[in-house]
Amino acid sequence: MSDPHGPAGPGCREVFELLSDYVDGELSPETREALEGHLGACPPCERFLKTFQKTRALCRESLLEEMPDELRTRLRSFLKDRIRGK
Amino acid sequence: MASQEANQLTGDRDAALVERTRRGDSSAFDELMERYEGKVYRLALGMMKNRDDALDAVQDAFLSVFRKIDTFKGESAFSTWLYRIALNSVYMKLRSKSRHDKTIPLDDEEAFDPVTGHARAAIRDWSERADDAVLRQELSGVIREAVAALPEEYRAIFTLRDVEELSNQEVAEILGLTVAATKTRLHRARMFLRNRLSRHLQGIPR
Repeated sequence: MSDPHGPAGPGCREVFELLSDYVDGELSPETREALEGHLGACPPCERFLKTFQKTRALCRESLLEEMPDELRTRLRSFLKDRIRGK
Repeated sequence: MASQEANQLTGDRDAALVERTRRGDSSAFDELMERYEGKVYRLALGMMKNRDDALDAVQDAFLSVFRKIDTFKGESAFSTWLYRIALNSVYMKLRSKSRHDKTIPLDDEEAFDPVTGHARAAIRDWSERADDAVLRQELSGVIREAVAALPEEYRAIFTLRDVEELSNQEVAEILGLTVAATKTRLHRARMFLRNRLSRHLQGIPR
């Protein structure tokens, strides 16, 4: 395992700053490779990445709520009244 | 590429429905609502504390869309225009005056060793633990509280990007921000939420 904190690649702080671009697939191939080199050699950063990705998945799952039918009905009825009565 | 084509089809369909709505075809407006009411509701719910407040904002948003449909020039996608109107309704309800002033720091200092500057060895991987069925319910509450603690603009960006899965470009257009500013705020919001969840999970004994 190479030294992830050597002068050649990104340091931990830089890796943290790039995590969103990394998970969104927005890094250049060179930067992505350098970042993955760091992650492969730096267990704390790799663990941080896993929890960073997990957070997004958990948030989406919790917040992806369907609109309840009762509210849909209320919305439709509100708009029908207001639009007809304009 | 497939999603670009899907976006194009969605945009074409929306444009046709907008045109028919302008000509007084109420079934076209109904279809626009069907296409977007769930998404606009989720955005409003993500921004507000409860379902009734969210519904109020959604009602105002669609009423505004109907009344202002003649002013929609088609310079942006219909969905961008709609989300912008919806966010304005939300902000009106929240009575917020300084939403652009509030920022949050990157919130990552405690992740680094102050001497070496490297990520701390103590960072734990709780990702598998978070799958525990008993914890899930609890985490859902923690997530809602954490999202509610984000400044409004960050909350909007996070919801549109990570819940509705719009692109950074689309979110930037809706919020009237540059893509770079949108990405910076999104990253800070994600880090803030990750750290809130982490503190919660690390505080629970195994």
